[in-house]
Amino acid sequence: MYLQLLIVGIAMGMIYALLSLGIVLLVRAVGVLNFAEGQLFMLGAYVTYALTYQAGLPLYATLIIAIVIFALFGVLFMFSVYWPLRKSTWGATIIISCLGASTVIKEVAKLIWGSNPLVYEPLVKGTISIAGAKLEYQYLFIIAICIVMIIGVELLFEKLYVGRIMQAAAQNKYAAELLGIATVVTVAVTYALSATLVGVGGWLVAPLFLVSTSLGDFLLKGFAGMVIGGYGSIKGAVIGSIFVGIAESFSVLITSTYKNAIVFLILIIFLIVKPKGLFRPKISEKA
Amino acid sequence: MLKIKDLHVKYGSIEAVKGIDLEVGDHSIVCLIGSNGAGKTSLLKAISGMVEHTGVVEWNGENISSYNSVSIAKRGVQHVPEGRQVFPGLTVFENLEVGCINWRGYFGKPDYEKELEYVYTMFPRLKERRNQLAWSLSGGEQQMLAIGRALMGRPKILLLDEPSMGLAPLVIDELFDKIMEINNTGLPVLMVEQNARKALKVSDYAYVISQGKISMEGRSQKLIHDDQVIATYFGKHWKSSKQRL
Repeated sequence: MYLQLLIVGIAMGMIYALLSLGIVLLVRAVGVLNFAEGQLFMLGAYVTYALTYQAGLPLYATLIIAIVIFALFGVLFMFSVYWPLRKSTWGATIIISCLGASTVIKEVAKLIWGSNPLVYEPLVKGTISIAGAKLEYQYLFIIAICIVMIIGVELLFEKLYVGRIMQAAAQNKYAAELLGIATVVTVAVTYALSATLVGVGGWLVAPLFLVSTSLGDFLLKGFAGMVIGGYGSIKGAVIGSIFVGIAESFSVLITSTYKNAIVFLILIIFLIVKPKGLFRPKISEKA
Repeated sequence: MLKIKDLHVKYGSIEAVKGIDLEVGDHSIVCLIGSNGAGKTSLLKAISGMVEHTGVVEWNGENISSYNSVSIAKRGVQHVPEGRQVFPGLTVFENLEVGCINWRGYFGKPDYEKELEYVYTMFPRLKERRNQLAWSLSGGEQQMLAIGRALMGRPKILLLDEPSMGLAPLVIDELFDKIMEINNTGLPVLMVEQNARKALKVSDYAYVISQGKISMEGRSQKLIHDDQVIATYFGKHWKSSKQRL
């Protein structure tokens, strides 16, 4: 029982981690809290649904084509929602355009796929029993895919020269341009990366719930994970989100109706007790 | 050789640079002095393609005035911005590595041994602190890092914006020594400075800018004794201590 809850919690937490990673990358690169990220998550579920059931593609082809679509959509999103407004002097402009975009994406999805929830079969079927606990394979599959994605992001930023260039451009756009970094490219790659992470998250979550526009509400979970982990920290976003997933899973022991309330209660407690989160971002201001 | 003809920079309806002509010879240090808001920084930003401008910027015979900052950086024009602007969350070494972008590209080979050694011998402090995050460095060290980062980009000309800003007098002396040392290798330097006395001491030629125009120019050795320059830019106690020169 406990092991089962733990695995399910970790799996959900990993999905939240993809979502909050997507948010954090954009916060660091362009300083924008992208409120449309939840709808990109939802779109991930719809796009993979279309590829699997409407186009009839096998699992691996769905994943590859979906990733290409997510990345391209991320770039499209950047040039339509962020780029025209980047020089705006009023900080809320881009947040408002993100909110607008989220409504547009949601309504267009309803137009295409209708408002009835769609059923997505488990990505891998079957169960396994570990130490007496029955466990669905798909949770282990989710954990494996998420670990690959998170390690991929970590390697990109810490080991590759391109990742360092992207970090530099995110930290100081002006100096980066003077050195000869095309910041439009680094920002576009960041948007593509963010949309891919979030879209894959939507794909993984689709079989656990129904494919519907309410998947966009998962944004709040990713956001909670990011705040608990430490606003702006990549490591914090991942660990905070896993914490949220496990807390949510174990809250079923007390109540299953109010498990969301428990997650946000924990968030509020964190905001009061440790407002800076578990991990501070790498950069701190010099005294 | 950098040649600028009739350069104008406008921010909305305000004209910050109102027609400047300027030249930087192949091995020289040229300095621009002038008070706050005279248009010095705008001039450097126009050269490196960071602000809209009109006029001609000719670099080694090529008119680069319509190019963007990326292609200008690729041509070896390295601009060290005002206030250091190091990448705070990267280590000293990573900052230097990022400086190679203009010739290395995003996926190029890390062929920077020679440049790195040069920067580390020029600024040994950077070598000692190579694994430290840049935000934790002192102001002087950050300035050295900013210059070192530009040197990693195989520069053919260095544009320095207020290198001495906010630094202690001893550090300033050390920094200007280094700038002269770098220039002695044949690298031309165009430097904007508020510290007019120091700037005139190390430079070969100087332009005085006020209100977006060049009000005076000449060999630095001459300008340093000019009564008007002394009265305007050296502060009122300067005359009494003139013999210190």
